[in-house]
Amino acid sequence: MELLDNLALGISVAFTLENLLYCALGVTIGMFIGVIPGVGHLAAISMLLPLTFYVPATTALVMLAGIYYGAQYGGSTAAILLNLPGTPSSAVVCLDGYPMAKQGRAGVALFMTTVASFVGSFITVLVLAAFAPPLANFAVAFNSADYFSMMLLGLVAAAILVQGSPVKGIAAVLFGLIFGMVGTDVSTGVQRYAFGLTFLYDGINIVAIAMGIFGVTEVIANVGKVSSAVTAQKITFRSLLPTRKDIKESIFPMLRGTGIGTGVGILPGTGTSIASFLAYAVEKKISKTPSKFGKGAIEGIAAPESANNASAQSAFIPTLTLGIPGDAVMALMLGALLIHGITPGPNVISDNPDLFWGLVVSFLIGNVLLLVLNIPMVGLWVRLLKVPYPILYPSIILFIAVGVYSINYSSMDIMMVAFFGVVGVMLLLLGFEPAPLLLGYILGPMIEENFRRTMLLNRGDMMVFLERPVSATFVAMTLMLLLWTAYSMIKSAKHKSIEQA
Amino acid sequence: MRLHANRDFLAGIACLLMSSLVLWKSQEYAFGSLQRMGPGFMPTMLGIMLAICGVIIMLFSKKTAGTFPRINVRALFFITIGILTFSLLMDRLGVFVATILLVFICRLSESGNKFLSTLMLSLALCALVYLIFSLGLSMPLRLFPWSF
Repeated sequence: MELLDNLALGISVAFTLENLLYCALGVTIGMFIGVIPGVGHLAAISMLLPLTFYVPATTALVMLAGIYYGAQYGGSTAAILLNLPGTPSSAVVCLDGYPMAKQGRAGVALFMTTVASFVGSFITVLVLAAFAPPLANFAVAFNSADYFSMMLLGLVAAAILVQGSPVKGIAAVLFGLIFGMVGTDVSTGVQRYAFGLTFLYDGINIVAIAMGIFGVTEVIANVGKVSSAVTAQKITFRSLLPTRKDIKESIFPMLRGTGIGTGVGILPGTGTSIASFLAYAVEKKISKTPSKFGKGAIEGIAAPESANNASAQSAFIPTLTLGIPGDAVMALMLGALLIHGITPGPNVISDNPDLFWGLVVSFLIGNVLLLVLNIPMVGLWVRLLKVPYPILYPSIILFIAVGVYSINYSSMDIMMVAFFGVVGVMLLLLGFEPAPLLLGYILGPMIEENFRRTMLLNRGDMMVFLERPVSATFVAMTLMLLLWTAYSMIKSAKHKSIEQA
Repeated sequence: MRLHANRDFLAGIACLLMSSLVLWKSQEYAFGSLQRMGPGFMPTMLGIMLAICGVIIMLFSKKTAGTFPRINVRALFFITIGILTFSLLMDRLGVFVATILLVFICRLSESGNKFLSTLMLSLALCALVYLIFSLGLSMPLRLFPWSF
């Protein structure tokens, strides 16, 4: 019974005092930042990344992952009570959650989103445990050509599937790839784009770039906008309990949402927002009474909530088996692994079984903890919505500054944060998405290295990408994505010009 | 097609500017060949692709452009200045002075008289930084202007 042995190993790792403590800390912080609108999980993870240098790799990942999936639970609270999404992926929950609150059913909505989150996460953790190890075994045979094509697919998917124009998404990825080139070229030792500045010779610090374009930009965008003076509804324990009809109507949407979320999470380059939007759209399409949606349909909160949690968990599958981050959060997780001297790739699970199985068991613990944090303590989280933003944002900025300093004890890194804060605002102004940029920045050096190696081994013959079956599959998928995008762009352009005429 | 200075048009210009910077600098690095890529290979390719994207964005800009989001210029200015001040002063005057200044400068992003609450907040944050980073993580931080 290999699985039982593995689980036993996982339990022995996850149940150490340190890991339990960091797991609890992670999910609590995640819940906290999820509840408060205007503080995202990406900002929180990049802020806390430096703290994890002081603990072992497993503990670090346990905590960072806890923030990620904890935020998925918390995000729906503000969405339901204030019609403000706490996290981007809970924007969909506003559509039916807020009407439910207006009908006096806020308690039921909060309860069902928690249950949906739990169901989505729990099932997907089991999927992760079952499928990640065989996938990793399969991936061991991949060579540099396969890796290049796979990363290409990831970048193209990240660029195209974001909101807004796909060409701008591709441009954002290219910006990221360009930022990734700054510093010493690994194969030739040439300083590229350092402009003679010594602190750029090692490249741009990942934490500085992430904190700048996510943390600082988010604060700047929210100052003066987020008012927390709104009086939220009072939630009693009794008001939480759903009726039998509520439960009956939610079971299948939850399972469908979980399925969609798991699938979306595995694809590289997609995030939790896409999963929850897709789940909502599917529920509305197959519903016998689509007119109910937007007016407080319980299916409309159950499906997207389980979908975003499921995708937050299944995003770990490509990250831990292939070393390819599915989204910007996973990119930061890989950064944490690298800092601890673990090279991401198919060997992570076999070389560090304690890391993988410890993480899996900690996910289960974390989700149970979140259930406990949510249901009996919901009143506390509701009260949190009243913390004034003017107290919050200087604190966030301060912790970003000290946090980035703590990595290299370099005040230059703090200046880079300020620089990337301005860059982030520019991106916002011009409508470029920051997430594909960060993904490009992370994958840039890897993609260049794998391309260079492939070309060296195959004497500059580009056909190799089509000759290997794995690589050819990824190239074909990339081309299909690009063609489909070009087709729909031209179609919508034509459509618009007809409308104008 | 007439070109308008709208949001996407400017976005395209930004791409072209970035691309020309990248391509101009890439001339200093050896291009190599496909078989033996030099350090200039990637930059040249990326620069060309970005330029193509920029042109496409500009060509479609009349149809695709949305309105500019409202940017809080005041917050952008004071928060950036706050972070820069902090980075310049923390090594020289210690983390406490830098923290107090950062909080005060950041709070200038909003209007209103709030000296006392800002002072309280900055002192509380000084204590937190000391507890978490100095005591908890034993980071070598210079605390006061007169320490080491």
